[in-house]
Formats: sequence, C-alpha cells, structure tokens
Amino acid sequence: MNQHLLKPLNLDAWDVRYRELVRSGLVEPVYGGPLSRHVTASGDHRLERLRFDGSPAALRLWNFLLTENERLRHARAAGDRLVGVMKDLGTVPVMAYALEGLRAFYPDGTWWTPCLMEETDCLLPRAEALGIDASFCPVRAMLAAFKDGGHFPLPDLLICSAGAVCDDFSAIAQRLEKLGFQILWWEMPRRRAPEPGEAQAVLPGEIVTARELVECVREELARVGKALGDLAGKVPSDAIWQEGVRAANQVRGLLAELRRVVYGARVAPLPALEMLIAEMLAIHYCSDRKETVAVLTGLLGEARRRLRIGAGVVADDAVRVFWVNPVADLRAMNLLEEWGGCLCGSDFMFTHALDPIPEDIPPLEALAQMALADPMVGPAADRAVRVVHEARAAKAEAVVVARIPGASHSATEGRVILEAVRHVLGIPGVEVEIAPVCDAMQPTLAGRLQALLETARTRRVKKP
Amino acid sequence: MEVYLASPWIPREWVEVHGLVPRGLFCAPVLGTLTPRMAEGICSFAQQSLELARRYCDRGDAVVFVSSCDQMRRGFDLVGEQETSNAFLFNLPATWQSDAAWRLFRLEFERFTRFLERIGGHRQADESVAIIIDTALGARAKLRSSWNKLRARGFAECIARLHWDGCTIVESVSDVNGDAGVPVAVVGGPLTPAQWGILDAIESAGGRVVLNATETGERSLGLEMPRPGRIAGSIDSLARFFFSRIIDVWQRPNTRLYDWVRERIEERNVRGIVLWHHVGCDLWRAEAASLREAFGLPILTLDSEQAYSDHPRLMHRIAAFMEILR
Amino acid sequence: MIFAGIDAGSRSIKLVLYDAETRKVVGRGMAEQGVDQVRLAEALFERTLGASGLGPNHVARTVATGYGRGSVRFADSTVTEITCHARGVWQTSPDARTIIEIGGQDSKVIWIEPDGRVRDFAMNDRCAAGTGRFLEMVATRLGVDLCKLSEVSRASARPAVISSTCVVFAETEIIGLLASGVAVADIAAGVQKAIASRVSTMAMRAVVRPVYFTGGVALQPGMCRALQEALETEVKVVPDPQFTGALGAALVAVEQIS
Repeated sequence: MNQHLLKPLNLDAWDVRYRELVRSGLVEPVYGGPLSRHVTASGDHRLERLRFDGSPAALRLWNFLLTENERLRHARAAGDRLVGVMKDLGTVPVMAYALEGLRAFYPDGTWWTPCLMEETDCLLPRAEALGIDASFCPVRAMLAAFKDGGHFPLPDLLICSAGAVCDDFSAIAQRLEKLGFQILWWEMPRRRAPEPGEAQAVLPGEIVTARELVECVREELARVGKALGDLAGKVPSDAIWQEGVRAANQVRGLLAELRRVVYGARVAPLPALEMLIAEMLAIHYCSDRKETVAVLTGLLGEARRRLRIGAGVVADDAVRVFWVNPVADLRAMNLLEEWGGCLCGSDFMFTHALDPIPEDIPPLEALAQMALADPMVGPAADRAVRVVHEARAAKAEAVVVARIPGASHSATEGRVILEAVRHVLGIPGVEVEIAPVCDAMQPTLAGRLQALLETARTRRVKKP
Repeated sequence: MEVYLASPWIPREWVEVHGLVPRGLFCAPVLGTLTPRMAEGICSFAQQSLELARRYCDRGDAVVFVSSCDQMRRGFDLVGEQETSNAFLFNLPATWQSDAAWRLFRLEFERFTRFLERIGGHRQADESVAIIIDTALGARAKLRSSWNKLRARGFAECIARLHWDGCTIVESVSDVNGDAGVPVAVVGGPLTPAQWGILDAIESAGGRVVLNATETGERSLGLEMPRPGRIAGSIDSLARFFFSRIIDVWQRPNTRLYDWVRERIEERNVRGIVLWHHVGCDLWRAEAASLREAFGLPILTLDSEQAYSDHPRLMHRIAAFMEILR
Repeated sequence: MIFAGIDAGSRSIKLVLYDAETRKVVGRGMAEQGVDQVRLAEALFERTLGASGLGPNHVARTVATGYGRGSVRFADSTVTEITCHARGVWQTSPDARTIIEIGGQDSKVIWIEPDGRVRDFAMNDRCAAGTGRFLEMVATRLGVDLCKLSEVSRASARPAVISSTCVVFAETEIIGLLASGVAVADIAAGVQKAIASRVSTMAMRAVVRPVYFTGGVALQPGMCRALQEALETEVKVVPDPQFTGALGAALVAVEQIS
C-alpha cells in the first residue's frame, strides 16, 4: 500500500492552509476561524510551538476547544446556569447536561492552560501567591482563574468529589473554598474487591466491587442531582437522568469508534495530540454536547477517509506506544511522533468516562457504577490490569507513564503499572515527568523517550 | 497478636475490645530512624510507615492503613494487597456531614470488626466492653486536661504512650515554667518521636507550646464527646461516637479542624503558629495561607524529610521565628 | 575501516576510534564539556585522530550519543546512551545481563538479552541525587578530591543517613551533618549508600546476574561496594567504564554500515 505521510503544520503553515481551505469553500461553525487568532486574541503562545493536524476536522476540534470560555460566557448571557465540576471526571456533567438550562465544565481543565499560554497569563505564579506553590500539580492554575474571573465565568454551583481522590487536588479545592467559593462536596469511597459473603457489583470494565459502595455513591449522586435540579428549577427524575445517559453514550460511542479506527490502524491516520484533545472533550462535551458530536463525527470521517486512501501521520515503522496519564505540556505528544513513535492506545486517567454507561439499569445506579469504575478510585493494580489488557490488544511495543509534576498519586502508581507491563507483556516501559513547559527539559525527555523507542525497535529485529 | 494502626482515627478501643493489642504505628519509637528505599514524591512519613508495616506483617502482626491520605492509601496498594491478608485499609470518609458519609463509616466499622475477628479477635462481653470504653474515655480526658501541666515533649510522650501501649500515666514535670514563654501552637501532620526536638527547640528559644495540634499530639485525642449512651451491644452508637471524634485536615470541608484549633488558640492566647508537615504532604502544605487568613497570626512553616540531618536548618528557623514573636 | 563513537555527556566528552577489521580500539580521547559544545566535540575529534595518526577521511562513520549528542554536528547519526552503553558493555563483558550506568547527569539500569540487545531499562527521575553530579557536590562540600572519595568513605564506621531525593536539599543536609560533627568518612559513605539505594529502587528487585557497573562513577570503588550491598549481589566494573558509551556508539556505527 502506498503510504502518504501527512506532515503536521505549525501555526504559520496553518494560516496558509486556512486561506486555501476558505478559498475552496470551507464551511465553519460560528466559532471557526484561523488558529493563529487564539495567540493574538488570547495570548495562547504555546500554540506557536505545537504542531497540528492539517485537516478541517482538526481545525474544528481546536477551535472548539479554544473557544470554550467564550461559549460559557454566551451561555450565561443567554440565561443558562453554570456548574463547575471538579475531580470526578465524566459523571456529574452527564447529569448536568440532562437538565435544560445547565452547562457543566471543569474549572480544573485550566491546568493545561499554562501550557497553551506559555506563562503569559501567569496563572501559576498567581496561584503561588494564593498559597499553592509549584510543589502542587498544575491544577493549581484554577485558583488564579477563579480569583481574577478572566478565564471562565464564575459558576453558579461548584461540585467536587472527595475521599478516594488525589491529595493535591483535594487540597487545592479546599483552598478554593477558603477563598470564598462554596463547594458541594460528595464522597467517593475507595473502591475495593468484595469480601467473602459480601454482595457484589460488576462495574463497567468488568471490575468487581462491593455492592454497598455502589449504594453509597448512588446516594451521593442523588444528593448532587437534587442540587442540580434546584439550580435548574426542576425536579429531577429517572427519566431525565436516563436521557442524559443516552446522550452521553452517543458521545462515548463516537469516541470509542474513533479510538478503534485510529489506534487499530497499522499507520495512525490522526495524530496523538488531536486524539488526546478528542478524549478530553468527551468528559464534559467542552460545554456543548451537540457540537461535541459534530466535532467527533468530523474527526471520525477524516480518519476513515485517510485510511481509505492510505494516508497516515506517522511512518509505517513507527513504534506503537501505549500512553498512560495526560501531559502537562501538549508538545510532548508532538515529540513522541517526531521521535518515531505513534500512539496506539491511551489511559489519560478517565477510561471510565469512555466506557458506555449501562442503560438497562436505573440511571443513578448506572452513574454510580461508572463513577466507581474511575481508575483513580481503586487500587493501582486494577488500573495496571486494564493498561496491560488494552496495551496487549493494541499490540503496543512500549508503554510510557507520564508523571504530572506535583501530583501526589503519581509517585507510586507508575511503578505498579510498569511492573505489570514488564511482567505480563514483557515490553519496555518508561516513566517520565513532563513539566508544564517542557522545552528546557527536552534533552532529558529525549533521553528517555528516544531510548524507549530505540529499545522497542531493537526488539523487533533479532541480532544475527 | 499486635495490631498496628496507621492513624489515631482508627478506634484502638475496638481492637482492645476484641482482645487484641492495639499500637499506634504513627507513634512507633523507631519511626524517624529508618532508611527505607527512597522514592521521589512519597512523603518520608509514609515511606517509613510502609517499611514498618512490611516488617510487622512479615512477623505475623496486623497493620491497619487508612484511606485519608493518598500516600498511605497507595502505600496499601504496594504493601497490603500483595504481601499478606493481615493488612486492612480502613476507608475513612472525607466528608462528614451527609448520611452517605456516616453510612460509609458504619460499613467500614463493621468490616473492620470482621477483620479483627478474622485475625483471631473475639469481642468481649458487654460489661468488659463498657469498662474498656470508659477507661479509654477517662484516659483521654485526663490527658486533655494535662496540656498545661507538662512541657511539650513530656505531653507528646504521654500521648504517644497512650497510642502505643494504652498507658495513661501522666507525670507532672516539676520544672514546667508556669506561664513563661510565648504561647505557640504547633499544627500539622504526624510529629514522630524522632522529631520532638522541634518542641524542645521552640521552648529553648523562649516559646511555650500550649497547643500541640499535630496528628500525634493533643488533636489525636479527638473531639471531646459525651460518652455513648448505650455501649453494650450497640455497634451503631459506638460507630457514631468514633466517627464524630475525628478532627483532621483531610476532611471536606475541614472546618471542624479550624473550629477546634480556633477554640484553643483563643482560650490559650496563642501568639504564633508553627505549621509542621513532612515533605510531600500536600494536605498540610496547602493550609499555610488559610491558617494565616483564619487566625491572623504569624506562621512558620517547617517541613522535613527526617529530623536528624535537617536539625540545624529547622532549629535556625525556629529561633528566628521566636525572636519575631518575642 | 575506522569507526568513531562520541559520547557527549554533561560533564565530559569521550571519543573512541574503533577498527572494524582488527576489532580493536585504535584511539580514544576525553575532554571536559563546556559551553561551546560543538567546538569542543570537533576539537576532541581532531586531536584524537591526530594522536592516532589518522585523518577524518579514515573514518567511515561516526555515531554520537549522550546528553549533548545533538551538538555533535559531524556525527552521521545519533543513538541514545542506553543502546550505546549496552553495546559497549556487551562487547567487553558478553555475560552481562544487568548494567548499571551512573553518569554525570543520569543513572540507569539496563537489562540486556544474551545477544546484547536491550530488553528494558529504567532511569532516574530528573532529580540528580543518584548521579555523578551529586558526588561532585559532596566532594566539594567535604573538601575532598572526587577521586579520593572512595578512600575516605572506606574509613566510615557508621554511614550517615542522607534522606533527600534532591541534590540541593541533600547539600543542606550535608552542611547540617558537618555542623553536627559527623565524620567526613561517614558522610561520604552515607552519600554512596544513598545513591546505591536509589539505583536499587530503580532496579525494582529485578536484577539479573551478572551485574556490571559502567560510566564515570564506576571508577569509584566505594560506589561499587555500596551497590553490591544495596543490590545484595556481586557487581563487576567494566574495563575503562568512562569510555563504554563511546565504544558502544562506535560499534553501533559499524552495525549501521553493515
């Protein structure tokens, strides 16, 4: 098969491409436009270092992502109430979007804004001035965003899970409350296997846990649901939640198909960076559920088109890498491909938000099961099992566990995952810390990632 | 069999009720002297606790971890679920105001009970249970009232003895200098025996530690609660009692901690706060600014991996802080 | 045919000239790393060739490795030091199965197959406590020549505990220990023990014997002793450990041509 290798574009090249697309009749949504405007208008200087896919579908994806704050402001102006959801990844937004007049977003999504803005906004130093310094993970950026109100509009209701969550996030959220932002806390118990004689529940992802824990979370979600209903001026019902579940599954189904098509291809038709962004959209629809469907549909169409014509974004001998944990600096995903790797699978810490939510059981029960299936809520060994399973299915040749600077859970779980990968799959793996702006650390990062890719390649060929 | 508890919030009385010997791992005399294999990003207290836990499990004792900090929770992943069935993770709810939080604690309390039975414990007769609980309450009350009768180290030693072996002898130390010294509160995470030098340093520099609100200090005695109405045969009232006495930084919201500290700061005229935490402890580190705002007092933040080699650095800071307060 | 391997490390640049026909090293050189990395590498190349009676046209291929490999402009290709150290160790010690390399900036554990291919590896986190840089700092603080550190540590009766995982904080600890009157020998031994402990954590209890030690730090017998204790197994030092990476790069250059 002829391999047509598509080169990624920098921002300048995208401007040229954009003009070509417009001339040939590009149809864009209302939030469309050249990517470079996000640098000039919003100071997103990191965009100048990133490399982008050159398709209209990718353009729509990026514009969708980078206009979320505007979208939230328009929603507020149009009378919608805003819900800031924190820590749980993918559960409460399903409920919020089931209620008309509510929009949910993740204020802690601001944590990667510094990467996009390359410190012009000084969110991290300002967070330090508010008492949370660089020993904490980049999520601390949201403190500054809340205080200055210059990013997302301040939500009408803040909801945060507590318990089996990472300490640094919990500490940052508690600080936020002390700064005057009231939070509705809900309990997330630590997931465990059932004891002999204990009633069991099988969660999505085939994880077995104690039934009582599902009950506990269901009760909490009912409490959260009441608060959402009060905000929306509605009395929530199972029928309303069920509709939310169905709508979420539509998005999840699209994303699952996109991942299957892209990660299952011999040569990836879409780049790692755009796949990371696509996954991140899914957990809260980037504040517009319908538009998320359109964006994902576009990406899927582009991926399929490229497969048909034999076009790909990596060389056909690229090393297949399974990536664990999101990156504080998006440039790292470009570097993986520039150095000869390709993403064949991922666990960006919210695999539970990618699985379909059961529709054959009461919706709050289904949502409780989903929430408990969060890989961060249970033992690291559970997460390792899933990583091994998916890496094997993806025919991964290597595994990367990215560490998030300051994230307290990172210290131990990476080791558990890599031990499992080595022991069960016998493939090499490396743990790398990726700072919010990794330029200065690039040689260090290169030493590790390139060594991993080299090792994987060497293993393909037996020495004479 | 000895049952080592990683937190003062695991009800030691309940272990005793089952005929087993509870010991506060957090007060182990060797804590602070071990050199576990270092791994970046894990707090030294957690590392040492895990090392000790491994040793105790290896020799057949039991260890009870808690979920309240992710270092210990993940530590259980490394030690508990792989090594032995003599390890238990007690899921302490972070929230405390909802029915679901209480329900979770209640479930865990029952599960903990089954664990104690599994490792050979047998619940004693109701009358004995009542005596054990009453004795424990009395001991805590006695210790609470002793805060101003002892030097800081002496008080910390008494509390550590209570958690380590249940001993409640409170020795008055005749050279307590009455009201001399600037009243200071030490607030924060576990202060192990190897780190009590910090208390000495504060007092040598002209301070008087009138409030040891560390996880191993006065705060570990818990909220002063009325005796549960029905002890005999009532798991519910006992569980409610144990749940309600928890005061810690990881609670959400952690207003109980602030209320408890505020009450004592005001009644004991505290003039400065030393915030103590181990390197890698996000939960306490994040409170520095909030403590400053809440109490309007000067704050000295001290962190350490191990006290001994850090000694000069810590002493220097304490001396400077006390100069400011004086 | 002559092949060149150049290991542009963070502290020094090493060069090896390898004759593929006689299978011998015919020249080698070392220079301190500096700001003008490009020029320093070129100068070393010229000097080493000259000392061996060779010129650039004798060199069939050059491979660069090491932290600064990107600055070796005359290299035909670059390969990471994982591959090069593995190759270099396997050349001199074909029975090696686990390699420990402690350089100026990084420390690594490399597992190799019987045929010399890298099976897996682990590297330190970006913190330098566990690398040659840490030892340099310690030697400076203790007022001891780096090459004498092992001799000093041999006299230790009770190694000090160095707990920090960061070089900067560890330096503070060492200052504190000196101020408390702890013996220099005990501090030196404590540092070696701390580094060895970090390496053994990286190895994750998966050491496959025989274990070989390479990199500049392997020249310190005290480090070898400390590693043996931490890993609870014999650790052998490869011949000329500071040149292993460069040798491996030259061998990779041979393989790339063939």
